[in-house]
Amino acid sequence: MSTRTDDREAQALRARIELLGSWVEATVGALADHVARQLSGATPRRGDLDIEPHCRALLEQREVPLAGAGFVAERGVLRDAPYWLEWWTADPEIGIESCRRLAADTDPESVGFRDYTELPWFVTPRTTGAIQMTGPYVDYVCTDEHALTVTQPVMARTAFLGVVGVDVLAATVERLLGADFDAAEGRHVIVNRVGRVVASTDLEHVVGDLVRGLPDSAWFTGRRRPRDGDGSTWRFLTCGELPLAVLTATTRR
Amino acid sequence: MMPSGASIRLGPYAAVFAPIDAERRADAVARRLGDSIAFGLLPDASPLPAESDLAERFGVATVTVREALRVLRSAGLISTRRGRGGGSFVCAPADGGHAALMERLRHTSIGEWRDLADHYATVSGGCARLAAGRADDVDILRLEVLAGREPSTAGPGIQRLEAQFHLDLAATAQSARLTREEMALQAELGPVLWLAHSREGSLEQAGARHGAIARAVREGLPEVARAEAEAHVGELFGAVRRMVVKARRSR
Repeated sequence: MSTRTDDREAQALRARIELLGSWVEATVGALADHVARQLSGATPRRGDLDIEPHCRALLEQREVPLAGAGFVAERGVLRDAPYWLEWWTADPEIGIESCRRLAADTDPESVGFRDYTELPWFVTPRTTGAIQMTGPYVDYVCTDEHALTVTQPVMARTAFLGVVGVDVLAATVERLLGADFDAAEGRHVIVNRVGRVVASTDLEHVVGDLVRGLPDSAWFTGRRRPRDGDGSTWRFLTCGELPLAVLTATTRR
Repeated sequence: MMPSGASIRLGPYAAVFAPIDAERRADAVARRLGDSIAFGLLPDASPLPAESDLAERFGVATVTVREALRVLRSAGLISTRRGRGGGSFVCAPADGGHAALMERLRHTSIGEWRDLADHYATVSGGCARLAAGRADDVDILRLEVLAGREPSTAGPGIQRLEAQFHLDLAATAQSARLTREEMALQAELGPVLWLAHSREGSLEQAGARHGAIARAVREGLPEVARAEAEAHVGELFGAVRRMVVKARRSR
């Protein structure tokens, strides 16, 4: 009996995650198109970007409250700055009133400078050419909270111009899962590919924890049933193309 | 009876309602910028960001920044040119910040340094311990890359590398609060700690500690990671202590 309820809950959670995923993908895609158009000239400059209205509108909408949105340029792409990023942040609980431009140090000579071109949310889309979800991780550049950052490369023909992206707090994901999540009876843990917890109805697993003992990344696409380190066994559902899965414990505590 | 709309008698509570001291904010901005300049961490003649940028960074009003810049100007730490190509420029001290560091060391007691060292060791050690239990492969690789990097001995290189390693360690611990604490401590201590360390400490030793912390994180040994991080902080403050003794002798 309970197994069937748990499975139904897991499927409802997966449906919500997939919906959220396609919203984010469309949003980031539109932002990438905008930036690609703006930077289509031969020698683009910072002033060409004009992404502030676009980003502010994203932080203003309340369908999926975002913590950040913006563009990060590849080194040397913009004629008038070797490093450049324009990223707007907001407290998703408050909304647009809390919106501000991220004050990032882009002068490589300065003490506060952090070379963003070596961070995963920049490196991976540059290497793979594909949309990328980073996290959940404690994002010390921007939100100081557990966040998921979804970034997509911006290309001009074959040239990589940088990445656009949005930040979604893990707490926001949990809230958007809504009643399906709050009222769940089963032990569900939403994890990324390495087993890092995004949200969980199981008190043993909290955001940022690693679910131990999952077989290597093959578990994600394979048929093997992953086991937790403590010996409990999980059923799992992957969420379409997203690098996320819903793990459901086969035993209730 | 108190007429409606009347406020309480301020009398004994007056201090509560004293105006928020705008000057104190300007002082805080001046101190933060001034430390970095005085300790020789910002290159001579490099331009400061525009007043409006600084205001946004520090989260204060532009007039507050203007006041802070006035303080720095009168202390000879910046010069300001008007017109095209104008702005405020760093006047780096000729002695690379030695005098300013000595001054700071003289004015902070050994007891206060120990308290700071304990605070930093607790945060840093706690981060290392949690990181060893929570790191995934990407985290581990990143810590190893940072640990293997050679700092340049001049300018902001050491401070930046140290700050970056410890920030990533805190983020790997998966604690938002500890990460914020680490950032606050670095803002407060960074310039003194790393300048003292570059004078009296050993870069090889710091590099070896970073390596040992990263190794313990890879091997999932929380207590080893904690012990290494605490020893590392102990060594950093050891350099500060040696500088304090020198500063006293030269008084």
